[in-house]
Amino acid sequence: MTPPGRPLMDHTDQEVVLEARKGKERAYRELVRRYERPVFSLIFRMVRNRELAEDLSQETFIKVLNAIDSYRPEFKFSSWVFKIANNAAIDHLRRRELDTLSLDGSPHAVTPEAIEATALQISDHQESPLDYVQATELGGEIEEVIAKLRPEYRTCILLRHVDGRSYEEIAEILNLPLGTVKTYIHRARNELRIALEHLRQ
Amino acid sequence: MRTTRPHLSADELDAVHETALPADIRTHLADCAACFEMVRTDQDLVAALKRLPHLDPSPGFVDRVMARVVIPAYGIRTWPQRILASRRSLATAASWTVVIGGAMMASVLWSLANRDLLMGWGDQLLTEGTRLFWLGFRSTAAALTEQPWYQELRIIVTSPGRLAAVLAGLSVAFGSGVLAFRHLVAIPARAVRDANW
Ligand SMILES: [Zn+2]
Repeated sequence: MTPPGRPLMDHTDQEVVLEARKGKERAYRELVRRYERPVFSLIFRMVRNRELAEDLSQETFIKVLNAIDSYRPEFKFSSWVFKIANNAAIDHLRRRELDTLSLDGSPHAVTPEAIEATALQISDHQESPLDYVQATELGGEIEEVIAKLRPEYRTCILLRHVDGRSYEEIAEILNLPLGTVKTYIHRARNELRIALEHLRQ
Repeated sequence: MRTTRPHLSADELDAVHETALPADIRTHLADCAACFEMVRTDQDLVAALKRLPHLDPSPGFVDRVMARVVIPAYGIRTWPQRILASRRSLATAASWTVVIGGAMMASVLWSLANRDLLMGWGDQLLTEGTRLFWLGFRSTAAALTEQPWYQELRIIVTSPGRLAAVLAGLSVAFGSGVLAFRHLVAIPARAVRDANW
């Protein structure tokens, strides 16, 4: 039961979910409002394309809200949302990996000009890593090197150090053993440190 | 003075971000330039990661999501609440109550008014049932004694040694059958991953 008289934004996630299950649209909106920024940020940093990140974020929330009745309260609500968001991003990256052949130019293109044209066509869709934020030099550089990490390292480092999620929650989100999550985060930090070393000189 | 403890492990490096450092690590960091430099760059990195901004989706995101979400009309858990949710559900529930309650009442009244007829039907059913049961039993027994293997079976059953051997054989067969069945219907020990989403 939710305590009466308190504005919805002061309720815990679990309480808002209960309200949503009673069919209250306000509660649905509150859940989206709470998680739109972290979910969009995570997905954007995974797929690096604003339009696509919007689509995948929308897909995430539609999935979450339409299945609100099947949400199991023994999980943290945030873990459930991030799990679905991460799955959406990873699925997209896998599909894109399958299309990698055409990324470097169509296999059917024979002349160098044709190869260049088909390759450009695709890279036009990619947003420059620095377009979306007037970041500091370090911030911008970090965004770029994060983008070069393996997807599983990327999710781990973003959830841990950008979102401040605990190791346990990350393990739950990614369905990985705790030890694996720790290893991924150490390796990711090592790779980032090495990649950013030149900035310290 | 140099410390004798080894360089920081990955877990210890991690602890640098979480908690106050134990004395031995502090001493080591004061003495070991390599670990000190690693901790410093790691701390800078984590601080920079924390400063990365959360990004906003374009305005109207919530509305675009809500346009594609179906909020169930029965978003209410218990069935009394579902019945009371709208006039229509209340009317439906009332109609069903009238139909089912009326039918039950009518059948009770009819039974009370026609007790003799019902008793007659009951007696007739009982007599017929008993007759059919004995008829079936007798014909089965007759068919059995006419089988060619009936005499052999009689011999086995009347000799205690043979009977014991047959019973032992049957028990073994039954036991292995039960074991095989248990194995077939056993629940897998490992949970199915991602079964829910
Ligand atoms: Zn050291």
